[in-house]
Amino acid sequence: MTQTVVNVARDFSKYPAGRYLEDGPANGQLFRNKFLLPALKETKKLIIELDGTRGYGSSFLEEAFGGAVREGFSPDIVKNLFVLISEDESLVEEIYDYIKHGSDPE
Amino acid sequence: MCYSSGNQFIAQIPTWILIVSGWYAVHYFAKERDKCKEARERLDQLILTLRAIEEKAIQFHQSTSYKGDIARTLVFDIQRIIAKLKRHPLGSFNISPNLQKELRQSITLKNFDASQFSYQPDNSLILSKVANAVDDIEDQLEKEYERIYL
Repeated sequence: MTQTVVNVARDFSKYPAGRYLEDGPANGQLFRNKFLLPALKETKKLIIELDGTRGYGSSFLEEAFGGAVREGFSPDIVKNLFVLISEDESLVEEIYDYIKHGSDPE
Repeated sequence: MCYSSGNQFIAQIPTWILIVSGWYAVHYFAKERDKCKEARERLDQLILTLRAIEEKAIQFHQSTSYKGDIARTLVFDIQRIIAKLKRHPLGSFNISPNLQKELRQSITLKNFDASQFSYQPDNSLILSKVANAVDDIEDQLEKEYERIYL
């Protein structure tokens, strides 16, 4: 299985923010469409380096990762294909929450 | 002569042991007191920052129109305070990642984007979640301070 590395700050934005396309230039929906869905469709391992940005809003994270599950991929597949790298454990824990409870984040 | 000064030296040993151990004890307790004071000061600053984030979050969610600049600073502020929790002397505090996650979620998961923003009344669930998340971290910080320093 091939694998790709995406560094959010370098390859997407240092200021990832917003849920939908209309919420800003670096929103969660765009991140999902640009990086997450192609990897899922090709069953390609994706290493996601989260550090280096100026922070994340939960709505961005939920739309990107929870949204990937809502697109029809099972939480187990999403969790297995995405390797999350961050010094902030709370961030990784939160993303796993959204993957697990994609359609019902709370 | 030599015999007598040797005796005097032996007789002074307990006195010197007392002096040295007394000095060590005073030095040790002063150092511990300083550590405790420094941690308290850092903790007080952190709690003030946490309360400032809470105020800003309330101001944001109770705005009559969407304030993108406040949303951006809230995201930065939350990231900064989470990073501060890992630094000396608070790095030795055991603050669960779950509490940090709840802080971020309470403020930035719902009603945080221009596309879905609405004014939140005082009794809003979002505002009460923000208050709970801030209180939970503050309680945990105080418990950890007591566990480590008192």
